[in-house]
Amino acid sequence: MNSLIKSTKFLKKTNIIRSYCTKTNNNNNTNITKNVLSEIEKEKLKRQIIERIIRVDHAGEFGAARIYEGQLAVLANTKEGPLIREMADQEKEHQAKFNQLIYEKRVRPTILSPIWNVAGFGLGYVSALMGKEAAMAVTVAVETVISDHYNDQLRQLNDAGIDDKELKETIKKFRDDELEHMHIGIEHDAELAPLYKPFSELVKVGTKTAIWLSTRV
Amino acid sequence: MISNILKKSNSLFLRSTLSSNKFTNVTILRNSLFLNNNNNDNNTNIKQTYNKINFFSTTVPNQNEKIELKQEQIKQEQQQQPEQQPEQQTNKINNEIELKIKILENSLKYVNSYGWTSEAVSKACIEMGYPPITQGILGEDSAYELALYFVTKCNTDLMIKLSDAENSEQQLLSGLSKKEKVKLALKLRLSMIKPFIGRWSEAMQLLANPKNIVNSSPSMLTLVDNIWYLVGDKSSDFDWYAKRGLLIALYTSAELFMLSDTSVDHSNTWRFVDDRVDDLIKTIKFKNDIEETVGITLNTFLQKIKK
Repeated sequence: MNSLIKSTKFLKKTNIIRSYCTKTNNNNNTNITKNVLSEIEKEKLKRQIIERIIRVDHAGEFGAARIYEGQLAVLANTKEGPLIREMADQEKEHQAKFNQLIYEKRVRPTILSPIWNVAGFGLGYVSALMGKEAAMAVTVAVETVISDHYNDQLRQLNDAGIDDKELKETIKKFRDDELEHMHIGIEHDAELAPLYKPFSELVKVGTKTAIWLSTRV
Repeated sequence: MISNILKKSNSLFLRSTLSSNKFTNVTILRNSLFLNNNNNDNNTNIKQTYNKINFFSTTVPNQNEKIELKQEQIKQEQQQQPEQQPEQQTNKINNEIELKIKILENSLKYVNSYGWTSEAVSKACIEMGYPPITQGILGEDSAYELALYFVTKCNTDLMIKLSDAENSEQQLLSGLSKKEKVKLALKLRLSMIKPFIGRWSEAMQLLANPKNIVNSSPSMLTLVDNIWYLVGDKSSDFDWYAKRGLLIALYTSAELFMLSDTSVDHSNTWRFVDDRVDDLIKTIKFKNDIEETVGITLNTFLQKIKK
């Protein structure tokens, strides 16, 4: 409750400063203004980093959940069904967490979620039709890219000097979950999928492209 | 500092002459008067500068003493600059920002008389004891800065009012549905422009001007984002964009409706807002129903393919 009021006051000051500091800088090109403005720019940069991280993580967990839904549409009644269901539930748990963070941090979500909705489900569905090995190969490829990306984000937060413990702990826990999913995929014959290597690389490139787009748009 | 003021006064002078042909004769007269004064007096540089400022700003003679005092203060500030410490640098920036805000705040008192124009800002500067050219620190278009300041201020005030109402012990908003909260927020925001309703079309024109739209858009986006946030909307998919876009359209149309509303206490505008918010909620629910239907159909289709 009180934090909301405090954030409101902070927002008020920030808005006013943002409206006029830039013009001041244009009028007076002196070191005096540069020193003050560099502090403001640092805060803006930190805010931008947090926004990008939460936006792309939110999109990523949404896409991952959709991939598992696509796989379940085909493999729900097979031996691997309960395992995929478990991983899907975990992704939905991650998604709920980032839904909450998007609201709390006032972050703009990505505009591409309708595309990830269809693309994720399609990827999961088609790979599952190719057999359970291909489905597991997709899981391994996607979770590998996501785990690496979580590590990059933790490094980014440290480099920028952002001390948001809740966000860091969340990213660490989810990264470990994704690594576990990757291991599950490998244990269940992911590498036995036909054309595993090129198929895996193709999925990885697609995932990285989605990450890059969701960070910005 | 003085040279900067002179440059800005020159630009103001040129702009005024170009904008109004009717006052050409007056300008010629002023020029002749200035030339006469220049020939007669053996002024020092300081006095010549003072006369120039007086000429361009057309101040009342009573302001002479204040202007001299300001000049002395400017010199003192220049001497003290090398001695400033980093903390004082921050103070200087804050003082400049506060001066801008004070000027803009005072200018609002003259909006109903002079409109959203640089003339209102000039009047505010005079009242505060500054020469009218002080408005130059606001940028090239002080009228636009005035309108933008008012919009930003209203958005901030709205958020403070709603968050206070939400968190107060009386729980003023706890009994209201989300729909009612949106209606209340829109009505509060629209009532903030009541004092200037007669001149508001000028402000809307300034804010919507193509060269200003880039700076004006964030304030509108902030407004709709604040409203949805404070009514507790937690959507985070494409609905996020749909709701904000719809609310922007709704608020803009309500503002335009209010301009031509002559009913007692703008009761027609409030009814307009109520009806449009109801339509908005229906649209969102309809969209969600369509999505559910498509989802069910798709699942059935996939099941058939599988078999």
